[in-house]
Parts: sequence; C-alpha cells; structure tokens
Amino acid sequence: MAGGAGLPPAPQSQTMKLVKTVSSSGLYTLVVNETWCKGCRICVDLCPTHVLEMVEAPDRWEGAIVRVAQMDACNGCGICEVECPDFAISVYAPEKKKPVKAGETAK
Amino acid sequence: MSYPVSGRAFMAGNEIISEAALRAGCTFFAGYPITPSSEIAAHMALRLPQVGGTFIQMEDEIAAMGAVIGASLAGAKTMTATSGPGLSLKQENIGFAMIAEVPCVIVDVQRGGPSTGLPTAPSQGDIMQARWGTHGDHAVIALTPLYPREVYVETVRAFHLAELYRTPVYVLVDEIIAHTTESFELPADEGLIKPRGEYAEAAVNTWRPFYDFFQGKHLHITGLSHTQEGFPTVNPEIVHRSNLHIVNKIVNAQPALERNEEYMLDDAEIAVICFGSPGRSAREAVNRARAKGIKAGIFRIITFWPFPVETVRKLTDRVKAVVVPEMNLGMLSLQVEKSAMRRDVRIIGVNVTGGVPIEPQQILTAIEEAYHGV
Amino acid sequence: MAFDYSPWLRSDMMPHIWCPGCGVGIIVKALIRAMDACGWKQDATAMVSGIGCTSRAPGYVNMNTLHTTHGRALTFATGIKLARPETNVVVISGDGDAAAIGGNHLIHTCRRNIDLTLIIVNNAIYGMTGGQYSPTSPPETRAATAPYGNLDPAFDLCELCKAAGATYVARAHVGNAVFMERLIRGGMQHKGFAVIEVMANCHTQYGRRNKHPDPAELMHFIASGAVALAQWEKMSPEERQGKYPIGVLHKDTTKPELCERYAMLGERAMAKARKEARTEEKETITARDEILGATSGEN
Repeated sequence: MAGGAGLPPAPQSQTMKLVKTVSSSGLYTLVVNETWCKGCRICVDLCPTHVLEMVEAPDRWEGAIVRVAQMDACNGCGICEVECPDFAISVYAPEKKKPVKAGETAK
Repeated sequence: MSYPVSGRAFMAGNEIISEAALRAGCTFFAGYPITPSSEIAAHMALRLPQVGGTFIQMEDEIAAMGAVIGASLAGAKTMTATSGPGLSLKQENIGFAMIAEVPCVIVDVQRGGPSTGLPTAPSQGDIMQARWGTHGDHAVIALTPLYPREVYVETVRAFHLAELYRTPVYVLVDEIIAHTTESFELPADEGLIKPRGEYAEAAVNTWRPFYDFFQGKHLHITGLSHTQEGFPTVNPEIVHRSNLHIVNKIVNAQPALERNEEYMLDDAEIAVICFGSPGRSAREAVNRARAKGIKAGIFRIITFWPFPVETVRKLTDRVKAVVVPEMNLGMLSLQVEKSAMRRDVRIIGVNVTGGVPIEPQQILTAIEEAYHGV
Repeated sequence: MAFDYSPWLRSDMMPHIWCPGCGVGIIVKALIRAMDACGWKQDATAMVSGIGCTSRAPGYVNMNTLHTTHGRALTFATGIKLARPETNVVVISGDGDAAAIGGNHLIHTCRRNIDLTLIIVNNAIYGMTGGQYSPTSPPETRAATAPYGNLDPAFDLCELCKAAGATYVARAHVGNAVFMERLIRGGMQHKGFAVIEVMANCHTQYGRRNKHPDPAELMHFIASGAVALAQWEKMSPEERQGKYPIGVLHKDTTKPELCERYAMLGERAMAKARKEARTEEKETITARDEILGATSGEN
C-alpha cells in the first residue's frame, strides 16, 4: 500500500503527554489523571468532605479540570473513583500505594 | 440413515448443499424457515448435533445472519440459508460481514419475487440483490451451480473461498435445483477442505490481520470504517484505501475465481449464455438446433460474481448473436451487454418469470430467431 | 481500594469519546470491576455491542470485542456463545439499541435463557444520533423528534425481560456504582440470561432538552427515583409514580440454560446416530449373509 501524503494524526493519547497528579494526606493518596479528566464536576459534586475543587483550564473540554483542594479531608470513601466516568481519579490506602511513575508530579 | 462421502448418492439439492457443507467442515448453522430453503435448515438441525456442531433457528433472518457472523468470529465455519425476502432482510449484516471481513456461506434458494412473490416456484431474481443488495462499495463472490455433483462441489468451494478471501460467499440456486432429487457420484476431496488455521494465505487478502476470538489476540471487530489495527477512523485516506482493499481483493481475484461450463461452444455462431436451471433446457435446445444444422453452443456461468467480463466479451466478439434464457426480466442480459465491447451485439432474451422452468422449445425459438437474423 | 483498570483498558484509545459527565464511562468501569471480581480472563471473554454511544464501549476494553449493527448485538453474541460455550460473553447496549430495533432479539434471547450477560444503559434517549426519543423516554419529555413532547408511554425494561423469560433481572442507576458492580457481578455469575438495566444520565441530549443540562444534577435527579425493592413492594401505585425499584428484581436458578440444553440434545443425537449406524450395519450384514448363505446352500 502506497504511503505518502496526508498521514493520519495519531490518536489523541499518543500526542498528549499523560500527566498525573499525586496528592497524599498520609492516610490516603489521590491520583488524578489530568490528561483524561474532562472537567465534568461529578467528583467535586459527590465528594462528601469537599476534598476536590475545579480549576480553570482554558484548553480543556469544559474549560476546567479537577484539583485536590484539601487532601486532609479525604476519608477514603472512594466515591470519586467509582463515579468518575473518565478513569481519571484513583484513591489509594497507604499500604497499597503505587510507585510514582515518570511524568507524575508529587504535591 | 447413513451419509457416505464417496460412491453414489441420491439426494435433492437442498440436502446436497447441507451434506456438502458438513463435509466442508461447517459446524454452525443459524437460519429461519423460508420456502424453498427450509429443508436445508431441517437437515442441518438433524445432522449438526450428530457431528458435534450447533444448529439454531433464530427469531428472524437478521438474527440468523448475526449469529452466523458471531460464530464465525469465534472460530466456526458457518452457513445460513434463505430465499429472496430473507436475503433482503439480511443485507445490513451481510455488509457488516464484508467490511469486517468475516468468512461465512449464504445459500439463497431463489423463488418468485419481488416481495412475497411466488414462495414455492423458482426464479433467478436475486442475482443483482446478491451483487448490490447491501449499501456502500463492496464486491461479492457468488456461485451458481446447476447439476447435483456441481452443487456439492461448489458448496465445498464456497466454504474454501470464504476462508481464503475472508468474505461472505453466496451459493445461489433456485427452487428447481433445491427440490429435484437425482443420483450422482459424490466428488473426491479436491484439497479445498482444511481448517481455518491453515489459511495463512488469507492474510495477503485482508485489510487487517485476523485471528479467531479467544486466541489471546484481543481483536476489535467493528462495522465502522477502520484502520489496519481494526479501530474506527474518519481519516479520508485510510477509509478510501480500506474500501478499495475490500473491493479489490475480490475483483483482482476474478481470473482465479472464474468457472464456467462450455458446451459445443468452439465453433458456435449462436451462444446461449445462461446460469442455473435454464442450463438444462439450453442443452436440449442446442442439441435440437445442431440437429437442424444451426451451430449453437452454451456458455454456462458457475462463478457469477465477480462476473467473467473478459471471457464474455471475447465470446460476444466472435458470435453472430447471443441468447440469454433466465427466470427474471434480464439481469444476466444486462451483464452481457455491459461486458460486450461491440455496440451492435445482438442479445435475445428468453425471460420467464411466471414461476415455471424455461422450456427447451422457448430457447430453440430464440436460437432460430438469432440464427435467421429475424 | 484503588482498582487497576490498566490491564482492561485499551489505553491507546483514551480519552474516550463520551461527553464530560456521561454515565456510560461509569458503567463501563463497574463492568470491568465486575469481570475482574468474577475472575474472568480477557482471553476468554468477548464484549459485544450494537450501535450508539453505549455501543462504543467495546473499542476501549482490552479483550475480544465486537461492535455490530444497530440492535443486533444479542444475535452476534448468541453465535459466539453457541460456538464457544465455555467462554464469557457480555453484551452492552443502549435503550434504543436494545428495546427498539433490537426488541425482537431482546425478548427471544430472554426466552432462550442463554448464558449471556446484558447491560442495558438506559438514558432514555438516542444520544449518538442527536437526541431522538426512545422506547424508554418518559411521556411528555422533549426530544429532537418530539419537539412537542413524547406521546408514548415508556417500557419497563425489567418487567419486559422478566416476562420474556430472563432468569436474572436487576436494575441499578449510574450514581450507585458500587451497588451496580455487585448486581452486574451477580448477573455474570448467574448461569442463564442476565439483564442489568442501569438508569443513566445523558445531559447533552436528554438533559439539555428537559431541564437537566448538568450531568451531576441529572445523576441526582435519576437517583431520586430509585427505591429499594423491599420498600417498593410496600408502596401503593400512587406512591410509585415517578419511582423505580432497584436491586435484583428477579432471579430463577431452576431453568436450564441453552448451551446446557443443547449439549444434552447433542448427546442424544449422537447416541441415536450411533445406534442407527449399528442397526444399518447389522441389516447390511444380515442381507449379505442371506445372499452368501443362499449361494453356499446351492453348493
């Protein structure tokens, strides 16, 4: 098959650098996949202890993504994780903390 | 009741197709009752459990086609059987099998149409539906056998071609062939019966690599236009290339797929071009014509799609005229016309759609008309 | 605590195409967790879908995946399962796909009780095609093809499936993902046809036209209709207005499943064929002996 002009653009994830943000309270750790978060606000809405907030991100889907506001308030309920539609947030208990991967920034 | 694979057999067409399918390695049949194909479903219902295969009567024709595709992706050689109205229903899923490149065999026992038409009488009215029934660009392999042994051989070949080109393959017969019981010699194995795993050469034909499900390869199969990895794309160049590929894999194989029967054609001045049941009457007509001193011959098409354009063109170049007997209002005539380069080729159609066989006399009259230039 | 979705996801294809806040992603995650909890292996599992927003799910899941024609997923899945009864086959379908064009296949698959698990994502709209009403859109709601309000009543899909013969019927909603996962798991472990209907939020097409343009708020609205089955059974028809029961609504483990029934049929057929072959052989031998006997008698 002849190659040549007009090669297709690579799928989004291959051009987007995967950025994950890790926040830890010593009790629980939250990992936010900032690349996959679409800023739908469901996690902020459902979090019972106001751990999360939306921050402006003009280049994003809804103009915002999620950020951890008060990690200490996290009670590890995991509602944000199960209700996030985008596989973008995970909650860890300390003994099962995953190693921080390259590209992640620890807060 | 034993079902030998060699020696003489005495079977009706529908039974021949069923036994040939089993011999070819068919282990899954899904169908729906429709005259005049229902005997195939009944026979497969009886025989498949005996050989460890699976039969299911689905809730409708569309479901039968879906099940046949699903089972094929899971590794089975599959078949369904229907008639005109059922084939109309199956078209969307047939298109799916084409773009997704899923091997399967579709038997269409043609009956009078359109719509409900003549459920218990023959026609050859689905030849264009087989070619163009589903939307979008696609090519099709359709086999139109006539004699009992040929029906057996071509059904086995249909399974082989489905695997080789990873495409649905049609076996198009009509109600006469389906319901005529005849004695014939069971054919020997031509080497066309082998498991899917041994079709390494199929990889050259497909747009993307294929493995059966559950082989550890986690393929994504979709009816959306897709890349060579199998995932949906809207990239215009990739989509266009994939469409070309699906069509060309069959179009380019036409010479290898071509199969015809010639009878007294070498010195013929009048060629009877036909397929299926009218071929029998044509033989009688040509014999009578020859007895009258008319040099007539038969060109009977067995691989109907892709159509033998070149061969038909050469034939129309050298004969005086062509007679085309068919149980429809001129579908083969259209193809002959299209294939001929001569603008002045004389085509006399013998078109019978009342649900009865074309009689030798009708073809003979047309041959005489062609010969005497009337 | 945290679930590792990475073995189950085709990460190359992410982020997925669903709108920000779309419930389908929540359901797909619950489905993945349920498969993992059941010990299903990707190699031995197939996911089948039809057409629609929900039906895009298999493209993101790392297993044997099949994205078929509109409404026909159950038929393809039936073929896969019958050809390979030892594998796991899950079907995911939207309300239009499953109950409108796919309605006939839905009721017959229920009737057959074949061991498939069907997740119906019910967001009461045709999302992908721009917001047309579906067989589960509530009466009087607006849609692209119901600009003056939907005239038709809505299916109760769980009642429909139960009546048609499904032997595990459950309902959850998208805001209750932990419960949803357990209900799906129950369906997967059930030997027979399992249907889990999940009430889901499409704020883009349904919500926007019906005063629920925000996904989180629409999730709350959907949750407000949910009633535990035990409570539901005590409610009067008036109290039930605008509500729906959740949980395992029907379960019957007494009905034999299709692949099992077919396997037994196969054994019977093979035994009968062997017996007939022996009879034929005996008849052939008898006939031959008679001929030989007559000949030797003359000697």
